[in-house]
Amino acid sequence: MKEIQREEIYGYLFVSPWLIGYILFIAFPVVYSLVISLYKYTLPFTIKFTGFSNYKEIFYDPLFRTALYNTAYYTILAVPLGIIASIIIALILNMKLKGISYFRTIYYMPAVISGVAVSLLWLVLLDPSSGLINYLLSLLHIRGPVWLQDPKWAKPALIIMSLWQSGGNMIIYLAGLQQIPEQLYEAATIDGANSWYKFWRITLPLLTPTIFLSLVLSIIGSFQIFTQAYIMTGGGPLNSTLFYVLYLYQKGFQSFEMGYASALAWILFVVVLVLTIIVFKTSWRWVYYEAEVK
Amino acid sequence: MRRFYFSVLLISLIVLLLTFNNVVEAVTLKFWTGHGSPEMDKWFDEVLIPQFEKSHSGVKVERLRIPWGEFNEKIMTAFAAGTAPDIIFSGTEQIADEVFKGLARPLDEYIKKWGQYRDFNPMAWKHESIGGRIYRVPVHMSSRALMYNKTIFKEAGLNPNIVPEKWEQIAELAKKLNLRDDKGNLIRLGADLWFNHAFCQGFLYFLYQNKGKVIADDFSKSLFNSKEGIETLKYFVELFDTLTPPNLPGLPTGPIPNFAAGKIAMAINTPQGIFDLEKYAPKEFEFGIAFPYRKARVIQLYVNGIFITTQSKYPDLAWEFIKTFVSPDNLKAYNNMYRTINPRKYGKEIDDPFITQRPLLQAFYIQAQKIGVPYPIIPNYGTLQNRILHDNIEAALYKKITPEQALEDAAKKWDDTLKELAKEGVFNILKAK
Repeated sequence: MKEIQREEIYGYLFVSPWLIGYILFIAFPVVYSLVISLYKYTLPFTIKFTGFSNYKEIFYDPLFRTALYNTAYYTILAVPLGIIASIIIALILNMKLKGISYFRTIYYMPAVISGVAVSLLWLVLLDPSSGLINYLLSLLHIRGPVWLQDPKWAKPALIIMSLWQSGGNMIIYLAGLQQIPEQLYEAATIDGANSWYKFWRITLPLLTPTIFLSLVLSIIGSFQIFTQAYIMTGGGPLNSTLFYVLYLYQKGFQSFEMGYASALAWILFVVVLVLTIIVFKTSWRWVYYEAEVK
Repeated sequence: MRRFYFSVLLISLIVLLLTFNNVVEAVTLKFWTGHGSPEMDKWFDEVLIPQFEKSHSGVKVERLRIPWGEFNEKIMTAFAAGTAPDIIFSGTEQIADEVFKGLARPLDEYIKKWGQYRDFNPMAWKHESIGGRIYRVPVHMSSRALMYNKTIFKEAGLNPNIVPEKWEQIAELAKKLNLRDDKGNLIRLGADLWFNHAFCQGFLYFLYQNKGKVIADDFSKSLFNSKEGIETLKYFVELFDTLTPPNLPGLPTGPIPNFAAGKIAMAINTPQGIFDLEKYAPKEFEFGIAFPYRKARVIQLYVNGIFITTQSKYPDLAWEFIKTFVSPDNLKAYNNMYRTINPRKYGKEIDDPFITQRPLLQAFYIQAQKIGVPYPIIPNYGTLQNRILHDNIEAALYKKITPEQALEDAAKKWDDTLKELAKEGVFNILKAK
């Protein structure tokens, strides 16, 4: 056997544990879910081939439209607000101040707490009569809403909660800020640029690759919002927090309509794929790479 | 020649060992339950299971308690995979799916030979039967009553000896006892009628008192959009709007249940709730119990039962285990420990001091036997009750639609789903002899 062939075999042998796991636990279930999306598959025993009827039924399902709307609402607000919040915090934490590393740790900590723990914590914070949020608002003589009890305020409450975990993206922006060469700021200072000008003409353009990455990941992440609604609201009140993945879960694991739930999953995949492609295709207009000449 | 004899001897030895191994191998019965607590798990493992294993040598029982949130999921996936246990101890609402999806084995033949059928509350058997066949043996029952804090009544200048039984009485008292501060925060809730959780069950609780029905006996159509249903939902919506409107805060929840802490004047409560009162309520509080009615004096019985699965390879042994579990002494010990109502009938007087020393619990036992009716059997309850009926009642509570529209819309969706299920042959089991 040639040396190259032997090396190839060893290479495959080394990746085989991961490859087997990938095939068994990721690739196979993904393909299987595509197949069962074409079946009326209700646990435990009902399996009948129905073609694309699940997909047809979905488009007439009012709860599908509600779930898609709620998820889009959440994404449209939470993603930009999250990016802005993360950039602002990163700018502050990029300052060379004594003890700044402690603040970086504090701001990052919410990102590492489990979703369930965060949800339970925010249930207490958002309590309309005894929660901290409404107490702080009352100090400003503002009567806080009933948050998760009110269909108008339940989604905004979850969006505010997502901002509390901006630390995760903040770290990425911090790394991005530290990549920007100091000489550019020095040159700008010599030319008489003020702070805002430096931010708008140097920091922000050179941060766009990081923003691009964060935007794509945030869109994918926000379309999969589940834990907060599952723990805190169950999709209510009045289905105002019935997000897409929560609806998919309810269809699959509470109504046991596996075929329908699989079809929902594939529609979600297409939606997120389309949005990601749009972001990629439009990135040439607003993403600047340092060495690039526009 | 020697090799030939040696080979024959070796093969015979192997066959003998294999046969012997099969003979002495213990049979393992798998028993899954959604009910329990650490105390209950201990009782299963240290009392019931050893008792059964002692009287059935060679049989082992493997118990598994599944948290309710995952119960249905685990059962369905186990059946789909062919790995279902032998015995399942399940909840009230699950029976329709267990029977219509072919998970539960009919028990009529076993029960006929058993001879203890008449020792149980007939309404409990009614719940555990579909299409004239019995599928589960009742193990425990729960129910709901309106408990009220007499001390709060006294403090509010009301007669503590009033028993709030009639709907109008409950509404009037609830409005008088509901208290908010000047910021709109709720200090005391006049009546917790399950508006903010399980309001489907709350609606069905009142519907029965108004002589309303939920679903036809043959599961062909829904019946809750009747005059009685609409009256019930209107009553429910009016009280919700007065006591806990959605734009005002509700009571904060804490480690001590609000009713025991004296923050709620009247509350729909269960037998298990009585023990919360014993544990948390101040000694000076005095509580009463009422069984509300309007056109009918009934209380709903939430019957929880145990069944043999259709995938069990040892149905006879599984039946033996069930018999041991529901024997008079074991059922009494279990129900007292779990704070539920024993489905076995008692005689002229209740002779168990555990019950007689608790007037509220005794009231549940007496009424369960006198006026108990089974909780409705709803197929696909995850969709019909917890999605369709829930969403429509919620929309009515939030005044997005009228009670009439809510029930008409829910009824139409129920009927479409029931027709669909009938077309798929889900109800064919009703025609089976």
